[in-house]
Amino acid sequence: MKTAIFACRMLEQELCSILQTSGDSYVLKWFEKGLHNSPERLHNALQQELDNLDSDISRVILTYGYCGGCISGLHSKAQIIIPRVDDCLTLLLGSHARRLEFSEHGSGAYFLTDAWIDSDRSIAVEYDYTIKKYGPEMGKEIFSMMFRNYSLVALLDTGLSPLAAAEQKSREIADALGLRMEIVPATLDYLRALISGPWPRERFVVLEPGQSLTPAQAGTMMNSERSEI
Amino acid sequence: MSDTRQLAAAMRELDESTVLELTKSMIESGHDAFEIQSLLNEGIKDVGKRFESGEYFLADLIVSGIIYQNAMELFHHCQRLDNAPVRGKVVIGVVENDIHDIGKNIICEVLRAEGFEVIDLGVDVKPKGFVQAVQQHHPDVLALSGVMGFALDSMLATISELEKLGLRDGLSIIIGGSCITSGDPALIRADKMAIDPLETIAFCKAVTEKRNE
Repeated sequence: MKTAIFACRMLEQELCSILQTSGDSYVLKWFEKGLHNSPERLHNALQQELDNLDSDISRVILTYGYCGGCISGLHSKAQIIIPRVDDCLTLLLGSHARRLEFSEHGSGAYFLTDAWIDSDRSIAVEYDYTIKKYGPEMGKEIFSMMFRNYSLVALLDTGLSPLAAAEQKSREIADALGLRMEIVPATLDYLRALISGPWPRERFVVLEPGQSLTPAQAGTMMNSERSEI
Repeated sequence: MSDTRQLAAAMRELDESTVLELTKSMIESGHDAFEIQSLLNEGIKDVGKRFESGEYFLADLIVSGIIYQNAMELFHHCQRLDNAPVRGKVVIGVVENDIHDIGKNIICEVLRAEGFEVIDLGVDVKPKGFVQAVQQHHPDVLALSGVMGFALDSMLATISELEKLGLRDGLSIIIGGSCITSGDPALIRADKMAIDPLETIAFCKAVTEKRNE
């Protein structure tokens, strides 16, 4: 029996790097970055592929976490493996606890990766659109409202590619928003463990064939101690 | 197009001056708050759809919130002039580890416009912070808001803490924000999940009306 990986293009570089050295073979299905803007569309796209799985696939690994609730209700005749994360940023930070370290004391970090910076809805694209549509004064006011509880732009460094261009862009974004910029070490360990298994309950949700998450179970799965699943 | 249809359309097009003008004229001609909010909500839902389809950007969502808040301030202003009695008390905050407060601020404005006293605890409020506020203010409703996925877990932690201290009975709890998708609020032991201001208002009104029976 085979294992499929349903992967977000946001993690393409990281996942390809892991698969190159894994030695195992997988059925790989990519999902576009833009689906993030609509958890419902993302959910439907994932469910559609789950419904159309080849009969020789017994396990599906999702590189998605909660991701706006897209995972709630997903079901399949195969086993589904889900990391206990909010989104791919937590996956790259290595743990939910590490992610929470950045939201202490009522101020947060805005995380960037190479892939986020290059996406067609990156924060730089958002900023340019806003200034163009609403003018510099109103545009800056809108952005200061969006980021008023943030103190940091954090660029994740996975070590897979040179950071110079991404760092330059991150600094420009931080300067425009009046925030600090830091390069934060990222890790591929969680993603690697997701692909290779085993899948201990502390870090992964394993849905057996036919099983699915309710919205509340999906929303509370990040904390394995409190999670009911 | 009638004023009512124009209001939803103006909201959808993010045309602030028309939204405010129509809201004011509808208040003056006796339309009730529920009707006006329903139209604004309809417009905001369309803004959300346009965002999902890629036509609108994040800034447009923020602007729709600003326009909504400004429209609600018109109600607030009218009610202050009327010296209306306080309808009930709501303690509200963004839960632990979350800092996204634009939606929460809109709800505060809407609740005040409806005559509720609102105690706003701000963002990243620990379960203990909500507990203290409940003990101090004895609200009719506790409103927990969140955007990040893990906010639901913080909501559950808050409700568990209230239960542990025997403060849950007699307290109505509503949860809301974009961390909420759908489903049964009882699964995290809340009384209501709200996905828009109208649901929040309807719930808070129902709680206070029941109390006054």
